[in-house]
Amino acid sequence: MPIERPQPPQPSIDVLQAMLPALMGSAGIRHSAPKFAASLVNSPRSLSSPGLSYPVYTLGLDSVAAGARLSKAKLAAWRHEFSSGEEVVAAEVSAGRQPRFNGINVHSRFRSVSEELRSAAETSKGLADQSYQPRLLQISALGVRALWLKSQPPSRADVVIPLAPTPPGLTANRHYSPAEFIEALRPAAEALLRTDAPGKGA
Amino acid sequence: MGLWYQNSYTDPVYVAILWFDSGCSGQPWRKSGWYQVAPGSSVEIVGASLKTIPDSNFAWFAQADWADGPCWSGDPAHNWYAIPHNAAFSQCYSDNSGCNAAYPFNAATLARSSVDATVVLLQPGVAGRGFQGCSYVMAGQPTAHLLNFTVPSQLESLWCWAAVATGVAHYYNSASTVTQCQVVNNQLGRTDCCRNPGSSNCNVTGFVDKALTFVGHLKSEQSSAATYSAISEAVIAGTPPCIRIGWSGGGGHFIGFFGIEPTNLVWVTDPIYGQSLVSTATLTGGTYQGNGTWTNTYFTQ
Repeated sequence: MPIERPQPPQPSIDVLQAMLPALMGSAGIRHSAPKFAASLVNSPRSLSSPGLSYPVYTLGLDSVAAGARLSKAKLAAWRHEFSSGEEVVAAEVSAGRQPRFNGINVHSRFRSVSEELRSAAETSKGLADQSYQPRLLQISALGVRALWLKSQPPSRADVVIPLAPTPPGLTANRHYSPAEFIEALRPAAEALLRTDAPGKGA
Repeated sequence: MGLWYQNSYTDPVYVAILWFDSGCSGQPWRKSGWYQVAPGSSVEIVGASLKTIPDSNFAWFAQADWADGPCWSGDPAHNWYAIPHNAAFSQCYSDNSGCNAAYPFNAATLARSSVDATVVLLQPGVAGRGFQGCSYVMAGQPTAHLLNFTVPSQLESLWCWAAVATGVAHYYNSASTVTQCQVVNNQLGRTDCCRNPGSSNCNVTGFVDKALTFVGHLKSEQSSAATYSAISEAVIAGTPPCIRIGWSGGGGHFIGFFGIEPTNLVWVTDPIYGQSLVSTATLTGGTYQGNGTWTNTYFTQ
């Protein structure tokens, strides 16, 4: 399955590069991500060359409960991944006309998206004749992350692959059509909305 | 309020100071140390308003990693002070009992314009030499501080509130044995959530304020975001605040703060997404993890 490598917008990279002094000066980054911190010192321009950049799309609980199409998902940010052995750092810059540094994750509890994409490409022989552009789809209210493989050309079917850990109702690494994916999450979204209240969380 | 040391170096640092003490006869100075400052953290060494201290002169020496390690030192021609080499101490300048080493201290004078001052330790220099190390003094409290506070992964898909309360309980009391399912049992008035955690009766959303009250660590709460300075103050005091994130489209999530960095950056510990350095504008502006906004604040004790 050929997966295209997304080209991040230059303003997103520029915002990231502008964070260099803050990230180099951060004792927390030196402590939690020592290899990444060392790479900033040894090669300050390395921030401009992430190992992988990908767009992050989000969908609200109300949209899932209403059975919305994935075309309702909003482009929220570009995430830039830097890997060095076991150490994975993901910096996020908001999407839009005035991109802003959102944050940098130094200790994720998940496999990197680079690894997930590699794994998806290796195990998706049935899709070998198709070309895809990868996106990360987050339905944060349900704690759901999924690879959204946007078909190229767009006239063909997209594929959604939920990433572990998944909530009840979804199977990690299974291939879903966008409609199947939303349907699988719909009961959980409806149940959460029914019990939602100010001050509550999940 | 007082004199702080902020360790912006990669390794543990140990600080010794010479501070005015009218109670010391003859030479009115007290020497004390070694104050340990963990990497990324800060320690308040003198707890007094710097606007009202009787003498704003002081001296200090710091070393990294081990006794006689790489150091921050001062003038070797004038400021050698005798102190114990590798043990805690607090004694008058003239009292040399237990003093088995001497180090060249940095002499400094504090401005009286602020109640707080922070010595920021950057890179140390060569051990055993004078005029070593890179550091600076700034008015105000530390701008970077990390706590050893981690919210564990939530054990069920809807248990962020139980995970946060459990993390807080273990932070304040490392001997605490409280578990996420016990927090859930308490809030739901059930007894079966440790046996059947994933059941539809147990894997449900909850309130972190009630959970923090159950574990005995809720200090106060507000139905809004807090300022960066309020968060800084709580983190520096060693009392990690927790917050609620409201997702656009419905639903919520709880996370904790375990550190601060300059320019409105904060370290968050999330029972789903792990540890991240985020800008407060991300949290208040509705872009945390894509579409999350900081809606409530819970201060702990």
